[in-house]
Amino acid sequence: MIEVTELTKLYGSTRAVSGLTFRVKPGQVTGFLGHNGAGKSTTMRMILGLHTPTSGQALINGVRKQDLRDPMREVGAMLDATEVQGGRSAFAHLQALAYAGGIGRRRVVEVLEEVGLTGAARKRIAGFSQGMRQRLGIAAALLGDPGVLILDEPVNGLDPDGIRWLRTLLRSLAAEGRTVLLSSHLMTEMSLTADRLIIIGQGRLIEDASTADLLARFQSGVLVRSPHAARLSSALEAAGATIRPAQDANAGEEPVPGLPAGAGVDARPVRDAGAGEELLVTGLTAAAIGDIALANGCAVHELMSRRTSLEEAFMEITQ
Amino acid sequence: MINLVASEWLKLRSLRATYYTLASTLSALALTGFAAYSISHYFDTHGPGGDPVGTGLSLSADIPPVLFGMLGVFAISGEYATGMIRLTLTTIRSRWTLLLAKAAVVAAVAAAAGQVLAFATYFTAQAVVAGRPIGASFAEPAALAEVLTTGAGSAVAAVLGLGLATVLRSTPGALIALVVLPLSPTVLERFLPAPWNDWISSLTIPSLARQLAAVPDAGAFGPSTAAVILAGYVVVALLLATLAINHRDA
Repeated sequence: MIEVTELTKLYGSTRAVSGLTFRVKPGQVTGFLGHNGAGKSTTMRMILGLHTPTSGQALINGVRKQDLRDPMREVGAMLDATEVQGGRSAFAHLQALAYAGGIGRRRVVEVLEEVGLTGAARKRIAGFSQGMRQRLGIAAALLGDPGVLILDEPVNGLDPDGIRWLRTLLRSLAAEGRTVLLSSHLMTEMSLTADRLIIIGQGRLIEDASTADLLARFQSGVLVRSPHAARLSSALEAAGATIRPAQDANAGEEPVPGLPAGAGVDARPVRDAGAGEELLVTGLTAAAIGDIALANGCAVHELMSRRTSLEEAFMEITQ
Repeated sequence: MINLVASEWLKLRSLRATYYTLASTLSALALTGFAAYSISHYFDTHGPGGDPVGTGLSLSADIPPVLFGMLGVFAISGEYATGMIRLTLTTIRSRWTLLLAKAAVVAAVAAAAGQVLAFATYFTAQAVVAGRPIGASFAEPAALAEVLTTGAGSAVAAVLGLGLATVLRSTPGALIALVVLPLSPTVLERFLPAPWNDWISSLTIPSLARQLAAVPDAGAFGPSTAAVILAGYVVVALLLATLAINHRDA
C-alpha cells in the first residue's frame, strides 16, 4: 500500500508537485500517467524518500520509506534503468545491491533468470542495450521480493516481446497481492496493463479511476458523415443527441493503430476532404441516427460507432 | 552495517578504476627509486654532505595521499555521476550508514595498500642506496614508525577523498580539490607570519604522518597533536559528508 497525502514539492518557486493525494492499493496494477514534466518522477522519488517533500507525506506500508526496517524486502524500485555504473557486470551490480539487504547469491541468480539476463550476467553493463538495462533495473527492483513495486517508465526501450513479458510479469505480481505502481506517458500501453489509473498534470491530480471506468467514459460516439450535416445536426440535437466535434479526427495527434481517432469538446463539424461533413454524435445509437436521418431526408455517407482513442482521451483530460 | 560493508567492498572491487588507481600508486616507487639513485650518485661523486635518502618515503610522499584520495573519490563519485546513488539509497535504511560503510572499505583498502606501498618504497630506496651511509635502517628511531604512519596517512586520505566527493558530487571537482588542497599550505605559508606559516605547512597528510612517527624536524607538532589532527580530518570529512547526503535531494 502506498499512501500519498497532500504531497507538495517546490523547487525554488516552481511547483513540481502540488497537493497530490492518492492511494495505491495492493492486488492491482496502478498506472501513474502524466506528460513529461507532470511530476511523476518527483512524486516517485518522494515516495522512495529520495526527495524531501516541501509539505505533505508519502507512506509505504504505513511508514515513510526512511522508517522501513528492511527496505529491500518491502519496496523495490526502478527509477531510471540507465542510472547504473557500466563498468560492472550485471551479476556484480545485483550482488552488490543484494548484499546491502542481506540477500544471498541464489536470489541474484533467480532474478537474473526471471528477467532473462542469465546469459549476459557476467558481461559488463556498459555493453547492454536499453532493453537489457531495463530488464536489469527490473531485476534489481525484484531482488528483495518486495510487496511494493515502484517502476518509472519501465516500458521504455523494451521491444514488443519485452513489453508483453513485462505486462504479464506485473499482472502476476499484482495477482500475488503486491502493490504495483508504474508510470508512463503512454495511455494506451497503460490501459492494457493497469487496473487503475492515476493521472496527473502540472503536479496536480486529474483523475483517479479504474481503467474500465475511464474507458467507458470515452467509448461512446457515432461518427456520421453527411452532405446535409447542418440539417442533420439540428435534427439529432432535437432528438437529444450531443454533437461532439470530429475536429482533428483525421489529422489527430499520434493516432493509435487499431483505434479510431477523434474527441473534443466544442460542437463544430469539420469539413472532410471527401464527401460531406463529419459529425461525432453522442447520446444516440447508430441505428437511431440512421432512422432520424431517413426521417429528415438526409443522405448519410458514413455511419460508424466508434470509440475514442485513449491517447486522445488522455490528451483531453490533461489539457 | 556488515551487509553494507560487504556491498561496498564488492562495488569497489568490481570497478576497473580501483585497480588503475592502485596500480598508479606504484609511481611512488619509481619516483623514490629515481630520486634515491640521483642522491646516491651525488654521494658517490661529491662525498657526504648532501641530502640523505633516509627511509626514502619523503621523496615521493605527495603521491600516495592524492592517489588513495582518488580511491575514496571513486567510491561515491561514480554513483553520483551515473545516478546510481538513487538506486543505492532506495535499498538502504539510512544514508549515513552508507557513508560509514564506504569509508570503512576505502580506509581499509587504502591502509593495507598504503602500508604495502610504504614498505615497498622503503625497500626500494634502501636497495638503490645499497649500503651507502645515506639510507635508514629500522634500527634507527622513527624509521619503522615513519613507514607505518605513512600507511595510516593513506587511509585518512581515502576518507578525505570520499568526503570531498560526497560534498561536491562531482568527480572532476573532487579530484581538483584533492590536488589543490595539499598544495595550498605551500602557497599560504609564504604569506603567513610565524608561527602560523610553520603550523600550516605541518597540516598536510605526509607531514602529519612524519610528525606522528616523531621524525626529527618533521613539523610543528608532536605525535599526539598530529594524531588528533589526522583523526579530526576523518571526523570533519565524514560529518560534512553526512550533512550533505542527508540534507540534499538525491
